[in-house]
Amino acid sequence: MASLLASSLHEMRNILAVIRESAGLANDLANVVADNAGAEADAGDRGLLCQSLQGVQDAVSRAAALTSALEYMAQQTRRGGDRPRNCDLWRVCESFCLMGARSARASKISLSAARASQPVWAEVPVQILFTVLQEIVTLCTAVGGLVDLRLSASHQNQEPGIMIALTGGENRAMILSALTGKPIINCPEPGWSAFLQPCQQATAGPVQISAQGAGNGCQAEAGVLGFFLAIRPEAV
Amino acid sequence: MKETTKLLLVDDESQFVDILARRLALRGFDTRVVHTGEAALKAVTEATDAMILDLRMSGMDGFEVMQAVRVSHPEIRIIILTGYGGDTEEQTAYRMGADAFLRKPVEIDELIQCIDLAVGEKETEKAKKAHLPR
Repeated sequence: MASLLASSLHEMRNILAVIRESAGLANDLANVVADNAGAEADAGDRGLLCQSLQGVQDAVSRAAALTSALEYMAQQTRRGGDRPRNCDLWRVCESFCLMGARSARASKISLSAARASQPVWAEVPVQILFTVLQEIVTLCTAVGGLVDLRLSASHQNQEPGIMIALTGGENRAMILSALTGKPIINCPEPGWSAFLQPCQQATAGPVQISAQGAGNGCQAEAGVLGFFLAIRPEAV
Repeated sequence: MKETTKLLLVDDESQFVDILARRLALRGFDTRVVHTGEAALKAVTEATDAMILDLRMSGMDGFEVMQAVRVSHPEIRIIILTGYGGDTEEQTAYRMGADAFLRKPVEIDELIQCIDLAVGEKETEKAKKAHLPR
């Protein structure tokens, strides 16, 4: 959680820097345009002025989205984030991608969230979801990064979970192998397990792989495009 | 006549660094922008007066760039401008020879003050060396 917060704050500083510089440039250019008011206005300066103001608006939108993500995580984990509660997995995906984007980008990992047509509710501890997703990104970083991950909330055999599609990147094949060899992700909370099941496509069922093969650093299954992440209570 | 100060800006936040470069250019600086550490090492020359350097970048990070530049071009002034740095990073940066450490977002006047101070010191050092008895 701390690394997600650090990534978010880093991103927030960058956004604020863009806002400050865009507004500053707009101010500089407004002065240039005003100085040239007597002469014919310079179309280039005016274009830059509009571009700067657009930059401010874009950066404010990014900041607002990031703030919402931080607020969502704070609300969901404020009290009993380690206890199961009904949460919309799409919002978890979206929040995670916004908060983790900056640190992921440092490893050339692109994070994106695909919007679900309707909420995908799951009764799981939200803190576990954020932590497990972060662990997956950390694993991708350890393998060398350079991969595009698209997260979406979905169901597999009526079980809610998060589909992690590897949509591109130079290291995609190697990361497919690495994740295929890690069917069970370390779960931070006792009593819960996180399972990562290879999938042939975003909506297809899980592909069976042998634990023995996976443990030996096997090649990714042919046709595997992503993984379905499910958080389940451990059997008593 | 004082020559234009030549700056190399290194940051993978392209939107930010491109705008910053434009603002500095409007204030009379000669700016060049690169978006990776690797590109920075290719772009840096004897003529570069100062480098405005981000710390956390894809690929080669700011510390690695600083380490290489300190060896290849020890006279270049390095100003760290980052959204990432905590106290540890700041201490490390100064220990590795950074001339200033600023956090984003920064006031442009504060940045220019840092540049002027760092490059001014460089000029003074150069002048002193030029007057050393042989």
